[in-house]
Amino acid sequence: MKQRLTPHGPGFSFIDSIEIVESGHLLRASKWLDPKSPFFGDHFPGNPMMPGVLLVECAAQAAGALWGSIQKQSKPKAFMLAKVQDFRFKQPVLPGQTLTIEVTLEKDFGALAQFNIELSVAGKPVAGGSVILSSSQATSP
Amino acid sequence: MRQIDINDLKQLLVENCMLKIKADEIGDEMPLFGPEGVGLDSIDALQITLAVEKKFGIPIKDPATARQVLQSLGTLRDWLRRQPDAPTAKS
Repeated sequence: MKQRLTPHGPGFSFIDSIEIVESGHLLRASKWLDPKSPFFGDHFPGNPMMPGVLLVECAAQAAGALWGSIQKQSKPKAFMLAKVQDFRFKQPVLPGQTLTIEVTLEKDFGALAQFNIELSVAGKPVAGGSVILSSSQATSP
Repeated sequence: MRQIDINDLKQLLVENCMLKIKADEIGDEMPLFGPEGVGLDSIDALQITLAVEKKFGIPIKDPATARQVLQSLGTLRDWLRRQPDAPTAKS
């Protein structure tokens, strides 16, 4: 059985592999975008591309994987997305492409942590920004 | 003791927090958190700590320190003044 990298079910997991580049600080993840994924059929019909909100989800899931590794969690932990900021989308991301997601910890601050994320395809930046995750169910504890 | 301009701190709030009141309505001793004050939350606290670190080069290392330091703009100013390595604020 394939090891789970995120706490999500298989239909909403946006990470295929992770590599801790710098312990406690930098993680690199990848995601192959299966052309059969249902959202490509409707976003947009005849012109499929990865929705921007799902690029943010990729970023948040990779950030969660980094924070989980920092906390030495034995299995993927469900963190809550508390804030998305300064995200820019530079290039369309297409089915069949492989995303590389690099996450850097900006600040670990108790129940909250802020991360900077760069998403790229074949070395070319496609999107990036910051997210704040919460380890509490309340996103602003 | 370093000179810290309260207006620099007010500007820092404006740039980093989702304020529910106007910047010029924020008094030096007004509580930053809670309904009786500026109304900031814990996400704002994290953003302020990052902004303080970038602007003044002084880290607020943990949430417990942040709770003490970020009671008001006045407490933040006084704490920054006491920090030995605080450089002059960047413009």
